[in-house]
Amino acid sequence: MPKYAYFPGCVGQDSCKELDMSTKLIAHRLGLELDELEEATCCGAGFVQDVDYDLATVLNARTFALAEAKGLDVLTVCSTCQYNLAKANHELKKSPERLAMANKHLAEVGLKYNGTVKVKHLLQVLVDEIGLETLRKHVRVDISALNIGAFYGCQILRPTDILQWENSDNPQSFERLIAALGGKPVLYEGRKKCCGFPITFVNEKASMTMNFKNMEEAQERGADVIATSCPLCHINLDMYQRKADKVGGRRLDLPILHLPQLVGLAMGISPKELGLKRHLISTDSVVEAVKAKAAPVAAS
Amino acid sequence: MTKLRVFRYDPEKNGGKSWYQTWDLDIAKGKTVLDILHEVHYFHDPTLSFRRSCNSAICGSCGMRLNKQARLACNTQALDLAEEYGEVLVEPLGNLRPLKDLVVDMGPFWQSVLDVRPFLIHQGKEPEGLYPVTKAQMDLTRIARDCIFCGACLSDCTSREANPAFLGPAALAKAYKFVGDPRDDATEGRLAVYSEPNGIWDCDTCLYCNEVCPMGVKPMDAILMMREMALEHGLVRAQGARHALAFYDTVMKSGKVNEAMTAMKSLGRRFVTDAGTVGITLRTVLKGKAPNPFKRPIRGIQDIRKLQASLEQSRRRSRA
Repeated sequence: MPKYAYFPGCVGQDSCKELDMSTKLIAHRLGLELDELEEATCCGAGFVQDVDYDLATVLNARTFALAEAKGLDVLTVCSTCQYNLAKANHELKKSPERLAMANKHLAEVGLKYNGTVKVKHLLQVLVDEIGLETLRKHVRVDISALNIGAFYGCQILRPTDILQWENSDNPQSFERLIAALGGKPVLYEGRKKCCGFPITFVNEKASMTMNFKNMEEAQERGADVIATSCPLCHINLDMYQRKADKVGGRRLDLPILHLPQLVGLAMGISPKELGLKRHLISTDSVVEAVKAKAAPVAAS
Repeated sequence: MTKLRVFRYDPEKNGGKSWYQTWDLDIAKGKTVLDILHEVHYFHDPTLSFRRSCNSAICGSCGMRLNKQARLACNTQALDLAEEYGEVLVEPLGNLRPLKDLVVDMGPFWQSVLDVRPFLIHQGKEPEGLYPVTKAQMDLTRIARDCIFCGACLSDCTSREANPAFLGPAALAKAYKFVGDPRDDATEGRLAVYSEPNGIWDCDTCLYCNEVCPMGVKPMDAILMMREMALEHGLVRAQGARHALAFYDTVMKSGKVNEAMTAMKSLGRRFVTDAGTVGITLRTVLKGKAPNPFKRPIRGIQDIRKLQASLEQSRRRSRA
């Protein structure tokens, strides 16, 4: 049974609690054991790094030391956590000086990082480790009525030299996962681009422009729902969708799901348990479309 | 046979509208996209326009979008693209206006570079003889030094796409070269200018620039280094600086970000005066989705304070 040190991230347990809820539900069904890192700090999200890069490195080294002591690799559910943790880890593993710097401070709190931990995103674990075949076996509900646009979030794709996973200009894991769940993946260029979230408070107009443009393209290509692997993208695409609509000049009404919510829906977990009612953009159309095909798929 | 699809545009043809032209070509292994474009130009259509010069990935002329990503035509294998995408798709650089076919107006690109004052600003007396700079000092700007001004980063910059006034990655990487150069005396003034709207705080950290640069330059890393330097110089009034500091403060307080407090501190009065923001806040409250402003600190928060203090102590020692 695969077991990970679970790094839920800050937003995943605050405004996007439904991400944490749905992650735990699907993990339970898939036999993916999550040992939650309750003492872990924020990954820094780039902002702690803006203020004090070395401190962010030390805090992330602390997280790795906590996971290492459990003998586990780290599992993230957020593209931003994925990049910031992977980048810190990459530096600590590559540079003995950086590792020594971090360990010098960690010694003050009785910790040490030896550089043995790997950091993986849930999407990566579902596709590469649990495997699409296993996922297919867990599908209980026909979601073939859904045309689903994947939205990766920049920091799960780039930079490839640090993340060492997907082909950043032609990513396919999310689409393969959607197909394995029985949904119809919709391809669009914006799925690799920025949702705008990091600059929402800095240049709201630019942020909303990106937001609207990417979602409009997805809708024009036929998507009637988006699934994202990043809660920060979810904040911008869901919570701020009405603001983006104003910049774009029309209402998109495009429901945005978190990756594990989509997986859970196909597994037959109830929309309520998955927290679909918590979103600001109604997910009723998604639930209705799935219900309309109500004949459950025979368990294989 | 391999399908080559090329963006065509001629203001004097097709009513000034662009179109795509396709050729089925027998592409030999080892041929670059530039080789193929030359072949089309010589044997199929002499009107096809594109920029190129050195054919050695050093002049930066042949930057273009190949299968939707900015690359140099001269160091990209045509068959690799065909294998990945089923065709070779050639388009002009993004975020710049096409003049004809694959040739774009590089004017706005160069203007952004000029806007960062890309030259050494020296004050006071010139040193006699050579200006000594250590290797360690120059290594700090290594991530910005190898730029060949091909425009790939600007082409795929998502922030520039949404906001043409954003200085963009190439210009800001160039800026960093001078900020980090010990011979330059205008560091603080530069950081103040770069902190203004459309500068370092407008980068959305999408990482496209780092990813597409054919020379391994890391413009985004350079931008983030300048953010930290700007804050060290006390340049804390830019909206991006306020936001980063608000975020940092809440992480130091509870170990995790306090979304509610970060928004309030970062937006200041706008949090209560901007109708759209108030609307979002109310709707999140109704949905039970509002972040908790009274966040309980994580277990081990004392350790975070100790780590911060330990780092501060090291810094004080190294300064002394």
